Order: sequence, then structure tokens, then C-alpha cells
Amino acid sequence: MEREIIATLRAATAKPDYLTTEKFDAILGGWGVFNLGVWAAANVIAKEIQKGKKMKLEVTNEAYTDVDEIAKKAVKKLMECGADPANAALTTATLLYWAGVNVQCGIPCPNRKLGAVTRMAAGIPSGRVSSIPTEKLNNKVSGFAATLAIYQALEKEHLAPFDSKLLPLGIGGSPFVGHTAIGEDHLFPKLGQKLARIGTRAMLKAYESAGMRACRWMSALFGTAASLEIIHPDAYVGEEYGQFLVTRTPEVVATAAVEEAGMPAVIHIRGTNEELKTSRIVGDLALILKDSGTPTVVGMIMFNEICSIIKEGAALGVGRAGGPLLLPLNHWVTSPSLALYLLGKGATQDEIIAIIRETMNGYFQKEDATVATNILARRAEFIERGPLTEAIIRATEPGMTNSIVKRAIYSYDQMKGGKSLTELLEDIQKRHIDAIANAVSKTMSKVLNKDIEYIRFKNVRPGAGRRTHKFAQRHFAFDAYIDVEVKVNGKIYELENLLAKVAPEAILKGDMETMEALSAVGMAVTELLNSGACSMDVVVCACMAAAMGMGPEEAAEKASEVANVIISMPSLSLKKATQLASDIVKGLDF
Amino acid sequence: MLLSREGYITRVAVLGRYCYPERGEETALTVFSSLKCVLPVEIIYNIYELLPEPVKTLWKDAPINGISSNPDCITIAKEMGSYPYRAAAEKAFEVVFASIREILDNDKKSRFISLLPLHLRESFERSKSCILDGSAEDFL
Repeated sequence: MEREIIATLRAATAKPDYLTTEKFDAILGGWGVFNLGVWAAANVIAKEIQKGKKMKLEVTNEAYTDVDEIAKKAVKKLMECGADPANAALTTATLLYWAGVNVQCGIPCPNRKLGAVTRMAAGIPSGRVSSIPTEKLNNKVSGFAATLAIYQALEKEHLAPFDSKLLPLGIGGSPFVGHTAIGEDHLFPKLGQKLARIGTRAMLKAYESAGMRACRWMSALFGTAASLEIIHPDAYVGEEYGQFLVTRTPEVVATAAVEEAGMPAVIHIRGTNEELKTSRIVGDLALILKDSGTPTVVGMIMFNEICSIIKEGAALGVGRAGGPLLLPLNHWVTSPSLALYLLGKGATQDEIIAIIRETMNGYFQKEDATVATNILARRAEFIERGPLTEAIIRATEPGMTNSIVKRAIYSYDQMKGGKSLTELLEDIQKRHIDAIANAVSKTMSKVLNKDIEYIRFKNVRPGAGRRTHKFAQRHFAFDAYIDVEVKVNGKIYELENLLAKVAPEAILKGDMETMEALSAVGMAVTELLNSGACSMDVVVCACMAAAMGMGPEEAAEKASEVANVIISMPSLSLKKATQLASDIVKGLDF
Repeated sequence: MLLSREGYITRVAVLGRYCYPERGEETALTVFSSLKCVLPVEIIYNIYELLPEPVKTLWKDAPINGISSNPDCITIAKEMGSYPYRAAAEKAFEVVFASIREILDNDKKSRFISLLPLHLRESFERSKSCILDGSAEDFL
């Protein structure tokens, strides 16, 4: 193999940070994100599973169980990685849940709830649903919408299925209601479902009113959680609602919330297609939310992303980094979360590897997703080594090596044949943009049930003219200019200056015809705006130029200037990678 | 306890926490088929004789997809049921064994265990946990 190819391969992959524009070290302070902490905590839990620790909350007569101990370790790791204590508590509970721990067990004492276990492990006070924000979807709302609507309804009408004044004197809080038909067959399920519907509706409305597409997942969760703050959250229910000793109020209440939010009754696990009852999952996770303190928006982002192992995630709003979009890497935790789930189920390392590899097919850009997953796993290994990162690296290393080497050979051949770095990158950038357009048109045809014959990006560059600042003129992510043509069901739409002109006008005017075209191209445009998440194409070309003799600084600057769409924002690591490529090639003595 | 075929299948679905009742039938047939692939004919007949209706008929209906050279029923079931990982196939055995546990008396239970391949006898023991959730185990 040519020395330049070896140098490029080694330089581009020398450090995980070199293949992205993201700032991995800043993640460790918890500033805006703490996903590397989630990767590390998942490894902590995985190692405890492998030690044979009991992953179950039980009604045992002891002060602490294995789960308490594991929770403390995971919370500590997350807080070391910058997570706020409440965020650490929530994410630990969610990871433990997907690892197989039940969310509740018990009688008055012990009454163990997973959210409370992790909250106490973090040493923080309890919170209220009204204080919990949703994850950020540009804007965000909070559980206050659900709580407010529920209490307004409680004030305006009588919601219990009987006249509460008729309850005999002195039975308040007793088994007379709680363990009998009055509570289990009537009060808890009927009132709980009413409250959940009211809360869920209020959340859906709040989202839309605040300029967001309503998130069905979060709305159902908050509607359920707010209802569980009022009704008995541990009660068994009448046989018509579910089996004794198996079904409790959270699942029953969530059934109404799921229905109100228009979610499917059954959801699936990514990569395995295992079927899960939506109401069971929503009920369990709502109980965790209710008990684990008061997380911040960042904590809720991580909560959602951990849950993105749900295959329908993109459609329902369960996290966003599980595919098909290639989001900024600070969101990504789907792979460790899924690997932990599989380990908890008893899957072997080889089986986990095969399933993780399969999930890469769920992205518009499979190669970039594979590289992104690999570099996150490698960076997470600096923090906490473990069976999950090991499996994920094994799952993605062949794909990453293949992608980098293919690009290195291509760029070597092209530059050897006389192409300049500028010409090479112009070609690469065009191919990258076209590949996104093709992948999105195929997928969105199925999603929208329309024939999106093609998406053609005609002019894509920084500087849409909406801003005059030089920085925005130079970097695509800050003022993107896009001309695109799309053919939907035989009709051709020409959209000029899409982001600065066409899209805002269409949305503000409610122009449905243009909105149809925007629905078809929206994901492709988003994918372009997020391009820097994996900067492999640019890094490999720039490293090759440096390995072939161009000054490392010049190679990095020229690459950033030419590939101004697919690198989208300034990259600090590019110069370091080109310098390393130059150093390596000079050091090879064969 | 007399059960209809539908009642039995629903019970399997409950024990396995499946989302659809038909998964109960699929699971029972997959487990029975994979067992029949590795057991000698006389044992297959003995199990048939031992099981009450409606499980008897399900056992009879479960197709034998050739005699397998692989003596490991779980691997056979994993492939037959398209389970994503081996532990999911193991779980299917536990669920079906739990359902059988519920309908056999102690004597027949012991005879059933003795007819199983050695590597599945532990699975029959573990199947107790499918019947009751964790908290109930501690109550009882």
C-alpha cells in the first residue's frame, strides 16, 4: 500500500475527534450535553450485570439491594462526566430500566421504585411533574401544561367515579378502598385514565401553541406522569384491565394516554424488531419521570435519546439520534443503550455486534453513521472501558476502516492523476450532497407514501444573505443558501433560497402546496446542515493532500474553504489531523 | 383445569408478556417443533401421551422440519422462530414450559422433565419465574 494512504488512514483515525467537527472534551463538562457520560454509565452497569448482580427490585427485607449499589456507581460516573445530579438520576434509572430492572415493586414497606432509587443515589430531593421540561425541539414546554389542565379539570368537574362524600368515615388511605373493587376496579383506573387523557391533550396543545410539532411520546409520558402524581401509582387493578400481580395502575393509565396521543399500541426494538406494549413502556417510564427528581432540558434530551432504541422513535418523537438523520454527535447514545438492553436480555457479544451493525442501515448515511458511532465508542473508552464499547467498536471498526481506506485510495488516485485538492473536494462534496438527496428521496417516498422521484440540490453554499456577518457568509450552518428542485407525484417544485425565503414564507402563510415540497426535502436539508457531525470526507482528502506534500495548514484551510457545506462549521481538529498525516509520511522509512 | 386451545394460547401470551395472542401459538409451535426435531420417536409419543388437551393437539400439530443433526433445541428454535438472539429463544422455552407447569400435576411434571433433553431441564426449573412477577414471588 502507498505510504500516503497509510499516513492518511492513521492520521484520520488517530484520535476520535479528528473525524468530526464536534468538541468532545467540552461534552465532559456537561455543557449542553453529557452523552459520553451515558456511554460510560452504560458500561458501568454492563460490568455489574456481568458480575452477576441482581437486576431486580424486590420486596426483600433489607435496607439496600444490588440495584441501589449499581445506581450509585452509575450516578457517580455520570456526575463525573458533567451531569447534573437530577439528570444523572433520570438517565441512570432509564438505563437500568432498559437493562431489565423492573420500575416498581412492593407494599408499604419496602416500596421500591426505580426512579426513587436513583434519585436517592444522587442525594437529591424529589421533584414535581409540573417542573419537568420536555426535551428541546427548538422550543420546549413542560409538564406544567399537563398538571395545570388536570387541576383545572379537577376544580371544574367531579372526576372520581363516585360521590366521594359517601365514603365511610375513617377509611381514608385504608385497604377498604385501596385493595378492593372500589379502588382497583373503579377509582384508580377510571380516574387515572381520565386524568391522563386531559394531561396528554394539554401537552399536545402546548407543543403546537409554542410553535412545535406535537411530540406524541412526550405528551403521553407527561400526561401519564401527571396522572400518577394524583392516583395510586402502585395499585393492582381489576381483571378487566390486566392480570393480577402483573398489571398495575401506570400501565392502565398509560393506555389512555397512548390512545389520546395517537400512538400505536405496539412498538418495536431497533435492530431486533421485538414487540413491546406501548402502554407498558409509557407507564413504566412515566413512573420513573415522576420519581427521579427535576431534570433539566439536557437531562430530558438524554432520557429521550436513551429511549431511541425504540424503532418508531423518529415518527413518535422518541429521541432523534437513532436514525435516519445524522444528528450532532452530542445526542448519540442509541448504540450503548441498545447494547445494554441486549446484554440485559442475555445476548452474547457476537449477537450484540450483529444487531448494532444492523442498526446502521437505519441511517440515510450508513457509512457516516458507522464512523460516528465508532468514534464515540472510542472516545467513551477513555472514560470507562467495558463490554458495551468493546462490542460497539467491534461492530463498527470494519465499516469505518473500509470507508476511510476507500476514500483514501480514491483521493490518492485522483490527486496522483493531477487533480488539485480544490477539484477533488468539489467533486467529493457534490457526491456527498447527491448521495443525501438520493437516500432521502427514497426513504421519504415510503414515509409520506408519495412518489418523490428525485431531489436535486442545484446550488448549496454558505451565505443566503439573511445575515451580513462574515462568519455567517463563510460557514454553511449559520446562513445556508439552498436552491433545490424536487419532483413529487409528477409535479416539479423549484425552491430558490429555501431556508431564507421559501420555507419561512410558506410556513407563515400556510401555503400547503409548498409545504408538500418542503416535507419531501426537509430531511435532506437537515442532513446537510448537520454535515459536520462526521467530517470523514473532508478529513481524508485534506490529510491526503498533506501526505502528498501540501503544507498541513494550507491543506486544512483549503479543505475548509472548498468543502464549506459538508464541514458546515469551523473544525479545530482538521489542522491537527493534516499535521499528523504530514508527520507520519515523513517518518515512514520504507 | 380444562382449557380451550384459544385459552391455552392466550395464557402462553400472558406468561411471555407478548403483545399479540397469536405470538403464544407461534411460540408453542416453535418450541414443540424444535423439540420434536431432536427427540426420538418414542419420546415424542410419550410426551404426546402425557400432555392434556389442548396442548396434546398442539404438540401433534407442531411440524417436524426434518431430523436435525444439531442436538441443541435452542439453536434450532432460534433459527426457526427468527429470534434475534439465543437468549430470546431460551425465553420462549421458559414461557412454554411455564404453561406446561401450570397444567400438569407433580407426578406428570416429573415425568415430563425426565423426557426432556438434559440441556433443557434447567430451563424447566427457571420457567417458574415466568408464572409470577418478582414481587409476588416474595409475597408467596
